[in-house]
Amino acid sequence: MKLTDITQAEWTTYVGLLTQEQMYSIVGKEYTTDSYFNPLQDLNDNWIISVEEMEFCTNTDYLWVKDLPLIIYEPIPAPPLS
Amino acid sequence: MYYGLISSMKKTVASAYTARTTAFIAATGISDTTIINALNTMDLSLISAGLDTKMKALYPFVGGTASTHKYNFMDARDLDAAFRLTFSGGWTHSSTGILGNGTNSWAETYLNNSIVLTQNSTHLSLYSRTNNTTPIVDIANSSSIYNGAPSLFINFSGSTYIQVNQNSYSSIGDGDSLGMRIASRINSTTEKLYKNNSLLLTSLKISLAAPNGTMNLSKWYTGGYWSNREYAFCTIGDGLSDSEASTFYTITQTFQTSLSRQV
Repeated sequence: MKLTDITQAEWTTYVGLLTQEQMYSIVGKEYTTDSYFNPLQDLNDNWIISVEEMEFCTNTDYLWVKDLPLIIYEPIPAPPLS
Repeated sequence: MYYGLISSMKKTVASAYTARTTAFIAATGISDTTIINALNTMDLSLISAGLDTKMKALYPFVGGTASTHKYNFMDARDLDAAFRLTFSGGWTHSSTGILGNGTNSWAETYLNNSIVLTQNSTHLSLYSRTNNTTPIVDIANSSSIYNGAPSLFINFSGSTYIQVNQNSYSSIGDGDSLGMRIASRINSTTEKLYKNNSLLLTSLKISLAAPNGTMNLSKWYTGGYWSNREYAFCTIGDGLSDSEASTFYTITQTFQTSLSRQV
């Protein structure tokens, strides 16, 4: 599944799947003016970015993120508030 | 003669707005007079109430882009030292504010409590336009020393939590996550939570030293709890009294109403 296959209402359901090399190439880089990539690992240790980062990317060095395969987001459970 | 007249006119135009408003519109490039007048009215009201000196960071989230939303109204320089925000992850920016995606969006303020604020005088405020009970962190410190305090979690699974230079939470049931919340401490014994124009919670908690960490929007120190709310205003600064919190809410609500985005 690709970015073009989902509606905006589904943005929170899916994330873009990165290889480790791709993650290293974008972490902390600007995807559009004054906005920076923040790759995370999901519950299955996949490196992912949000659909917003893919959709809003205008940096010509990283337009390939728009073609990332989408997977359903499975977050790592947040630690308990202590 | 004409030079003198034009020079006089320029001075008149230049003095139409406060110095902060003038600096902010210069930095952001905002030309919309509705926004500019709203900012100027807000600043004049803050000055009149003596609240402007208490605000160390004030993010009005106007202009609709990350490049305008990042600026601190109190010091509109494009510098970490001016507490200009850095947005990471998938924020959506619009004329109504900044909307987190609940997945990985957060913002760094660079405001270190131990440097800028004091143990017995701190406040955090947020204006939320999203109503939900999602267990998220709206604003917290990056230091683990007091579990991310100072912090404010609005309607976190039904309750709003505050920690203002404390290592344990104070909480109270909250009916929604809309509008303004202010967490404030003005002495060594008590922290308070205000919801819009009302005092929601008074909690007896002895203060601890301001932590050596920076304030983050939509991020807890461990990660997780990413916000999926839209914020239209945020401040960090000195503690506010009951009357100051009430006045500050009125100023903020007038500001939001003038931009047609009040809740």
